Amino acid sequence: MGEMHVVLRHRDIPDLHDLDVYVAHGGYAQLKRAVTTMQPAEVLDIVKASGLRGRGGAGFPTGLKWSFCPRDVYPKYIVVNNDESEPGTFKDHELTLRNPHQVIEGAALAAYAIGAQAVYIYCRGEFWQEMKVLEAAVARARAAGWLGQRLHGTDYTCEVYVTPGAGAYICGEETALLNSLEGELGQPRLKPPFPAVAGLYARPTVVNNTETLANVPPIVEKGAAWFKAIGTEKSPGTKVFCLSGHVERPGNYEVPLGTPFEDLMALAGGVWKGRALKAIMPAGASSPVTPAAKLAGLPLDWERVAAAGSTLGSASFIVLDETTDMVWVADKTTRFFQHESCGKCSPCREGTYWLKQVYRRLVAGQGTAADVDLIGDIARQIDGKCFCPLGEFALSAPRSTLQLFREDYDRAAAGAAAQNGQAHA
Amino acid sequence: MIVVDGRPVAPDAAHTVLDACRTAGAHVPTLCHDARVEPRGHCRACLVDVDGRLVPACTTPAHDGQRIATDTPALAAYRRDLCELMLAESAPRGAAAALCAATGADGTRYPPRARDGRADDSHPYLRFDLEACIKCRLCVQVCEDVQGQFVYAFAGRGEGAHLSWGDGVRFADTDCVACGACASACPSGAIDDVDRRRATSTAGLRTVRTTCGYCGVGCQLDVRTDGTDVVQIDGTRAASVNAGHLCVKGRYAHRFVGHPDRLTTPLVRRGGRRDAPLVPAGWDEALDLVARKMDEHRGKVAALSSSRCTNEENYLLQKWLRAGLATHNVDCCARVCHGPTAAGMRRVLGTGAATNSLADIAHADVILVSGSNATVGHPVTGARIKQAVLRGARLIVIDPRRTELAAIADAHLQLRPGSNVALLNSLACALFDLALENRAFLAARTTGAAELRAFVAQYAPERAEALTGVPAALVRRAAALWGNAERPYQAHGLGMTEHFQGSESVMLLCNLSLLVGGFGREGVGVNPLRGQNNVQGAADMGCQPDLLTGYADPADPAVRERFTRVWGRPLPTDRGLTIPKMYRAAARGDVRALFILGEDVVQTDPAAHVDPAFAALDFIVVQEIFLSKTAERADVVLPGACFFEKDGTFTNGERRIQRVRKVVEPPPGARADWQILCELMARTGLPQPFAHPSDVMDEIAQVAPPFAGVSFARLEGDGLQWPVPDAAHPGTGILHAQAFPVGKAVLPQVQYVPSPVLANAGGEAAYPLRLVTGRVLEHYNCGTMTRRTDAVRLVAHDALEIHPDDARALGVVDGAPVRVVSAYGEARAHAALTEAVAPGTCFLSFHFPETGTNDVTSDIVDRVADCPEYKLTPVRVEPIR
Ligand SMILES: Cc1cc2nc3c(=O)[nH]c(=O)nc-3n(C[C@H](O)[C@H](O)[C@H](O)COP(=O)(O)O)c2cc1C
Ligand code: SF4
Ligand code: SF4
Ligand code: FES
Repeated sequence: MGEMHVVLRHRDIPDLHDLDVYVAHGGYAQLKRAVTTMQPAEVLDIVKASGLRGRGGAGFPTGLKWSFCPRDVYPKYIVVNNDESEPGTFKDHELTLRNPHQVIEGAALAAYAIGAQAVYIYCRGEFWQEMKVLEAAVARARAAGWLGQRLHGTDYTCEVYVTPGAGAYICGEETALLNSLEGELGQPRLKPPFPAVAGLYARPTVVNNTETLANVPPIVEKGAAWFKAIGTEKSPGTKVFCLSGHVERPGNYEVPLGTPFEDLMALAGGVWKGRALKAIMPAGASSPVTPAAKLAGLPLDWERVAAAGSTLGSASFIVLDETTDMVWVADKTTRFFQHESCGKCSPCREGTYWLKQVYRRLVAGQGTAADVDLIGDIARQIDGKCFCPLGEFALSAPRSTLQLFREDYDRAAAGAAAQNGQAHA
Repeated sequence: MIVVDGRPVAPDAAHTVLDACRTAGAHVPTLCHDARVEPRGHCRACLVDVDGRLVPACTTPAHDGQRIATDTPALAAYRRDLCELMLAESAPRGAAAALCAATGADGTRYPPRARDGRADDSHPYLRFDLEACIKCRLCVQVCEDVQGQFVYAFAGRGEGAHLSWGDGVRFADTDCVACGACASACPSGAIDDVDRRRATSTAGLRTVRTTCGYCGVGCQLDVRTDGTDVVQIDGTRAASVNAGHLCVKGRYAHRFVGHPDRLTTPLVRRGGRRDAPLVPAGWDEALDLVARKMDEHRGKVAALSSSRCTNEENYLLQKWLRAGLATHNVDCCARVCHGPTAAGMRRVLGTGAATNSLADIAHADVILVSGSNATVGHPVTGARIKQAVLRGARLIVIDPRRTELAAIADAHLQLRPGSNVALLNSLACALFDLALENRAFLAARTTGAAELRAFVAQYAPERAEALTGVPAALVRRAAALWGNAERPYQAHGLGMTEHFQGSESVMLLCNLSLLVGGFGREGVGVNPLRGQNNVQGAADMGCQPDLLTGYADPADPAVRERFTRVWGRPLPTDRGLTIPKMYRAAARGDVRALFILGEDVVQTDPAAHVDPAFAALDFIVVQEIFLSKTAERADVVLPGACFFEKDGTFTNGERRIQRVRKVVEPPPGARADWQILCELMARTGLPQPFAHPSDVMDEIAQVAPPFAGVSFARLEGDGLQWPVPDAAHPGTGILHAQAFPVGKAVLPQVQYVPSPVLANAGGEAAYPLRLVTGRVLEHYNCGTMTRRTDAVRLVAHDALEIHPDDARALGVVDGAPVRVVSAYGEARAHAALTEAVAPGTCFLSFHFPETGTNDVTSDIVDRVADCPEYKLTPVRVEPIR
């Protein structure tokens, strides 16, 4: 199977970020049609029927999420999760830079569907350029009457605001994001209540990923059946796969869900330097590694990647070739999560700290077999004990590499034994 | 059915899994759980096994069918490891350390890592040792959600997360109001206070529950004592009034108890001469002298009772005057604070006390606070109001100052001092204009709506603006908020009552609630924030010339019969004098002997009243715990006991009668005030049979129907809210549910009359500023108690708050000494420049005798209830060079 551009349309249409170009290619027509000729429930029903699932990681059915918002509580909000901080993920970055209007139109359609009048686009703190592009896009669309007060002569108003994050991975977690948006410390909230009931400013709120929303205008335009015909039954549509690591042509590739692993790799030119594949991390640093053996012929959708022992998440494939030391990989992810732990709950705060200490020793050649055992102990102390999923994300690489590539650990510990031996000699 | 460790628990008995476990009697360790705030699930100590999964008990909702295990090998291992992680990051004390020990964690699993080693002891009360902090954040939550203060934050992330109150800031320089809630909540000892540290190092402490003596909120205290000293105080968690919360005074200002300045022997002036020195005397000599003099001046005696004393003592004092000395000349400081509330509310509704309870604040959707700086004067109630506002209640504040509550209000009506009546009328007018009056309620329970509507039309906000200085649009906005309220709750303070038209202002507050149907249900009502701790009780007990115990009318024959029967004496037939009238009568020679129980009138009443009276009186007795300014001028001083040293009851501002329990003995030589009074009654021919204050309460129950069902036995726990008509009655939280005692309330019409003080004073040219007096958080009234505690390290002198524009025009800089001059006298203070007061207005507290605040205030009183007009005096301010 080859590439198919539902959201990466800018790759086929030059200058799609420009409002005029976007409009010339049918842009904002769906929003206008919805607002002027459709009931909000109709928009919601189309999205529900399309089977669109969230592209932010969990793959939660988008229409269902929208329908959790109580009908008659106002105000409500749409929040676009453009925090994109997962190592190895860079699709929202391309989308907002190159096809911003499709994201905005999708968000506005979502707002119309749930009865929200305001959209907040929460951008990763480092997205300076993306913020500028989005702000300019909103301003132009608003000036042209595609957004703003009393759209197309109706009573419906939709304002879009672009807001910066402050540079923390945890702010991608939707409740931490909402705290951050409110100006609070960006740390997760207790759930329930879920955002659909009490989100931004304790009002019903839908948080959707950038890519998720970019799918909405084509779905409204072409209908649920069209969308369902792409991809697989349970994972319909296309997905942007971010390929990085030991691959010939790293980058974003939009393909139908269910595309076999080999087809995707072929698009990217395969493993670099002609080397063999050792494993991949299919959802960035937070996913368990999947060994080459399990990847052969694997159709890439949420169910089947899960069945292979990992998670598709946001589809950020970090490719690891045969030379990769898995202790080194786990050390890197551990350092990342230790740095990003928000510090709210003790198992994650302290557990990631000690995990890092152990890995630092191992990669420095000072680790011991006891250290390898300690990894399991600390992991048990974190697993299922934390306030939010970040704590468990931190365990993905350590646990899976330890289980699948024990020999790398033994080698690291043996290095220490040898050094100790030298020291004693 | 929920099953906890094999024991069944009914699902509706539990909100959370933790509740279920506790109901089942299972022990679940918790560190960041505190019933006063929402559970947040930070510490992860409370994990239990629910249907095979480990979940935090504190945050997981309970539901039918759950199978919960609290004690499995996996949990034991988890808890120990959690503690090991905790010991690596901190050196906890208290509950956290206890949990570590209980789980067998010993800090050897992980080497201790670099810790946050900050300590801070800049504050007089609070102490910090952050090496102990386990980062549970309960302090942040308690500070924000209980006190409504925002002192703390967590900064940093991951292992660098740490408690912060501002980088490089000394704790003493934060916005902390020293309520101590954080110290009472912190499970690790990282936040501590001086008393807690003392308590941990003192063995064999006993805890006594009693009622705070610092204001009319009536917080319940758990006082820890070693038998001789008050060591440490916490709020009673189970108490309805404060649910464990306290303010800086209640929690920390107790060092006055064993202070060396305490009076421990009676003092007399020998030879009957005022210029003779006060010298120590024996109790018999002093008591005989008092008895002889009071007898000698029969017909010309008067007494001032004390709102700081118990109900039983107040009852005894008025009984002594009435039954023993045959006069109604007894009054109390309610006269100088909420007398106008009682008078005004009684006129309109028939009862002169709070109609609802403090707990109702949480149910209100719009709160109107008028003339009250509640976060200062009634801090725990103020905190409740802040909590309600933070949860979304709307707030309207009427106050000449931008108080803490005004700053968070939806509408702050910053009126010119003295224009209350005009403003309240214009609010009523605006309500009518918006057609937001509750017609059904008005028709069913009031008369005079049409007439009121016509009357208040002359106070249209646009016209009243010239009198009040409040923009008409703001008045209309406030009226719209108030008129649209479902549960409109009012709290008012002395800024309403201590005025020439004080009682009438209170009548108009009643109007505002009548107009919107705000009576007789939860979350509404007119609720005076009573000032002194037992001012409600002093009035309830009959310490006022015109009303007997339980507000009985001495003119009523049935009442006379009842009192005569119980007291065995006829009731007096004179009219009785209010405090200001007593002073005037004394100055004229019509009152010769004055008995003062625990009041420092020289410092707190206008000197214009007090000085001529004291000069003319033949005999002054003061019963006190310190040699106050008033005691210094007495002929006999009797050393009494403070509220930690005796049994009895106080009645708080929501009519709740609560127990006062003896924690420590009075200093040697001093006596409980009720015992002194009984002695004096016996020596003037009225022996009393009481062996204990509970016996006095039993007699009160006999004479006063509202207290008929009250006895000490029934006052355990949260006490009772009067009326309590019989021994089975549960007490009354909400008054006027069905009808007002007056039947249909007649909506009062009150014309605004400018206070004569404005005309008296020699014109605006001579006295261009309007002075308001009041108190600050850290001190209590005349300060005799709080000035003898570390409160002076927080606030060491009275400050004159003045607007920077006014100050600039006068050449006054911040902190500079100034003279405050009125037509009556002058005071001295340091200027505090603040935009909290509007230009043209200034504010001065009265806690320090050297200030002389009440030398400045006038002799104008409320024209109905004789309450001095403390809240308005024209003054000029001069820099002292
Ligand atoms: C630690 C953590 C980080 C996350 N980061 C992101 C992120 O950067 N972008 C994102 O879209 N979703 C992120 N998520 C998922 C969001 O919480 C949320 O599920 C998502 O925004 C929902 O959008 P969707 O339904 O459109 O996928 C993160 C979740 C966790 C637990
Ligand atoms: S799991 Fe980690 S990131 Fe999530 S709340 Fe706990 S400390 Fe914060
Ligand atoms: S100071 Fe105490 S209450 Fe605050 S976070 Fe630390 S341990 Fe918790
Ligand atoms: S008590 Fe439940 S997490 Fe702290």
